[in-house]
Amino acid sequence: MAFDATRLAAIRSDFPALERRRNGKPPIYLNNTCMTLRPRPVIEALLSYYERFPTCGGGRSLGTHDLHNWFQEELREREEAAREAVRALLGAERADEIVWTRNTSEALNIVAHGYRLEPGDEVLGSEREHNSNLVPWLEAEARLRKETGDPSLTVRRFFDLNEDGSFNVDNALAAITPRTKVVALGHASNLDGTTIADAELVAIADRIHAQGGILVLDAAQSVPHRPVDARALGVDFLACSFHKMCGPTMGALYGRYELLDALDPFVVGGDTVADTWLDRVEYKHAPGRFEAGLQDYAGMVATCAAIEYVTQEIGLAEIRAHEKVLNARLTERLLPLECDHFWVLGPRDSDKRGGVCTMASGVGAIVNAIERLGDERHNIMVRKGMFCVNSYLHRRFDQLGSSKNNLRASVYFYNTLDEIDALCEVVEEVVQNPLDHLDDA
Amino acid sequence: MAVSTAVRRYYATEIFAKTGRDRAPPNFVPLDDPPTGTAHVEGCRGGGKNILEVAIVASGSGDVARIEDIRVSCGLCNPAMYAAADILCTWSRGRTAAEVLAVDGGDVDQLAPFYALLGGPGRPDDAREKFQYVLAAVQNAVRDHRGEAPVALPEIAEPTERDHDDPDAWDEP
Repeated sequence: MAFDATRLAAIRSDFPALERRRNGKPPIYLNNTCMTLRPRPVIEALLSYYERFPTCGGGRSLGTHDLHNWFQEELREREEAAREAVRALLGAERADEIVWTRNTSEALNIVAHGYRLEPGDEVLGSEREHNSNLVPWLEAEARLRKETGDPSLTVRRFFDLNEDGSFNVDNALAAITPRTKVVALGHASNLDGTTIADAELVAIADRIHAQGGILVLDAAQSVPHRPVDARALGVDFLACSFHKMCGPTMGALYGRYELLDALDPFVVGGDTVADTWLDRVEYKHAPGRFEAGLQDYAGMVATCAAIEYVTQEIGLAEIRAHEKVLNARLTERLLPLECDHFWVLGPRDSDKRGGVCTMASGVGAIVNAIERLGDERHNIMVRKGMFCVNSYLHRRFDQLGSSKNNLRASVYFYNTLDEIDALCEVVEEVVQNPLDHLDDA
Repeated sequence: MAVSTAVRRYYATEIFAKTGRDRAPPNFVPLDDPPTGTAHVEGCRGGGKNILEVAIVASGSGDVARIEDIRVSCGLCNPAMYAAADILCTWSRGRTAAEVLAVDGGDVDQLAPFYALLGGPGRPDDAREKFQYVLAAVQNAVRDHRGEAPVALPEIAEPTERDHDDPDAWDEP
């Protein structure tokens, strides 16, 4: 374990939600891929905005100081510190390469909406992109179809992953054609935790850059768990969410400045403009042109605290090491249960699945019974469904009738082996005697 | 809520036994051809994604339109929903639009053909509720095939445990 029992207990004491009890038992939170719990320093930072400087941080461009009052200056200092913390986290060159967003989805929408595609251009992704990195590109395709009047115009193309769901860089490179303008990839999968290796990303970046295209990375599932250096990886745009790393519900978009500043604005209005007249508008330069209206200033302050907590108080290397141990235990106990009615998605080797372990079945009742029994007996919180990778699950599993019956357990640094064992106990009971648990489904 | 004996038995033999890593019950895989009518219904309380999708391939039009094939898709965690969806597929296949639309799901007596396919004595109420949901979706899929707007879901009573468990009343095979 990266953390001994004393350290782990101290870490867990930072999380008020873990102090709650239902039926005398604490929560077992294993839905971290979706959203993590929040520690006290983050909650206190969030409250500090409302208690100390609850004011508007808008009405200015980054680096300019056209507002002068007590609260606003205090807020500005913290907002700039937060943007700088995100810059450092993502390996950006400049703080103004960082745009605040509500989440990863919004960040990817900004790119897909603002990057100019011409008829004939193609956008390449894998067969398993999160809806946030699929739908915005399908919408871009729809816009081009409308503009050209060609309903058969294909913009978005995909390549196959390996059979076990892991990334296949050869397929990715082979799928890049002279028409490929954008390669948009999920860095780590929210379904099975598989991650694209750094060298593979660099190879893809080199190839697409050589023909004048860009690499867009959906890093929602990687940034909270490992160091991600956008520039070193050759990534042109990167999107992530802070609620997946102990922060408030918001995200950020990184963009290489000249590319970011060239994007058409997405949501416009207050604070995106340098000036307006009755018949025209002059937009700010990035990042201001993308941050419409008053922003979540409390969230920015809390994001700064979350980044500091995760990277300095805990440590990304320690997080990875801890997740590895937890997922190894989970996998070690679940793989022997695999049968005609139950299996684990993704590579057999838990090291290749980060902190994610998704169970699947053709029998929805099994998945439901595990979820319900886990909740009732141990306050276990997991996630079932299609996890926004519907397109991949439909493609791979519809004919087998199992595309919708998935149950995901995802860990973070505050989880314990005892929690893993509690989940495994429930899974064992249900999988070994599924028909005895129909009433629980 | 407990699953009725009738549903439990049907589920074990017709659904569970035919489900595996490389196979699914025939009514629960996609159609071979593009559907000519689709519909969906939120068939389990609790909201979220408990949505049953129905897809049909039908020929002809009007009352004589005939369901050539029908499939369903759902999370299908509820055994009664699984059984009801399977039974409605079996019952609907080959029937005309007029026959399908003539069934009044609110009248439990008219659900008798479905109970017959379920098997066993009595009319367990967990099956009744799901028959009503699935029937509404199948009827809307037929309407969709005919180019008609879907009809709003009728009020469906929550299931009770009426006729649920009397294993002694079963004739053992």
